[in-house]
Amino acid sequence: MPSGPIVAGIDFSECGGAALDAATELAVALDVELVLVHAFSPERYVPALMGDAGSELMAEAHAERSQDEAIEFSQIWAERAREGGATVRTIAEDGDPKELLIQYASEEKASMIVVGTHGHKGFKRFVLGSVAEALVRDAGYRVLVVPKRSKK
Amino acid sequence: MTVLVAIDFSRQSRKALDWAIDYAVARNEDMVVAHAFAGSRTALGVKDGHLDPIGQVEAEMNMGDAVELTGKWSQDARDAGIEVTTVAEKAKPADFILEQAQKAHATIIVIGSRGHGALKRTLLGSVATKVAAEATCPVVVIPPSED
Repeated sequence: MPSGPIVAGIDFSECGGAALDAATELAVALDVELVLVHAFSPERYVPALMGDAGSELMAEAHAERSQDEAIEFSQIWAERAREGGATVRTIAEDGDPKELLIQYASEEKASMIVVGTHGHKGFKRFVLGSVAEALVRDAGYRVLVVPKRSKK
Repeated sequence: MTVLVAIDFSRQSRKALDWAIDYAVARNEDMVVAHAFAGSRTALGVKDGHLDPIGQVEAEMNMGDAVELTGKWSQDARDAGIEVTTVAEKAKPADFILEQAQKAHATIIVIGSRGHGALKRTLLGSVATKVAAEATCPVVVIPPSED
């Protein structure tokens, strides 16, 4: 069993929480480090329901907050993983989730990438979210795909 | 708790079995080794966008061979001290894996990905992605490039 760390993509979605917990369990079971990668991008912080009017202004405000929020969010979830017994590092960066996950998996010589079936872009039953789909198809890494309601 | 590993006798599915064995030993879990006998080489070839030598082997195999081979692969898990159940049936792979995982109350599914052939952009969906999308438990997908 390779001993490279597990690189887990985490976000605000329900699947992200399930992915974090599954990654924590696995890291503990396999006795490897857990690296949490939170990819954030300012536009994702703009609520979908927002109309055109004023959205630019709002987007700016969101962008300013997003990095601080991303770091704070990552710390909260890192704590949750530590409580589960894992050794954790966090990375919060502005960028594309798939590319960041592959980049860090490569840098860390990861033994696995963990992601939720769906990110915050919405939940469609029986269809993989775009990040999970892309990783499973192209990454060349073992990928643990975790659904919203993971049976324990 | 139970780990379900899907095998089709390809190299990737051997990697899947090996990973599942390590995992089951580390967590002291039971295992279900599941094989869906697809039988048709054409179907496999079309799915991957190229002729797959594994498909060729399977086309020449009959159900009895598949059952025997499933048993042989399962033995490696038993030799590692794992309690193993084997299931091998003529069935649609993704549906069969999902069904068996439900039945066994699997807490994790391990499956190899065949990767993509020339038609990867047009032929969406593989057994692994379908299983990962529809399973109610986490799914480990083992990539084709892994050595």
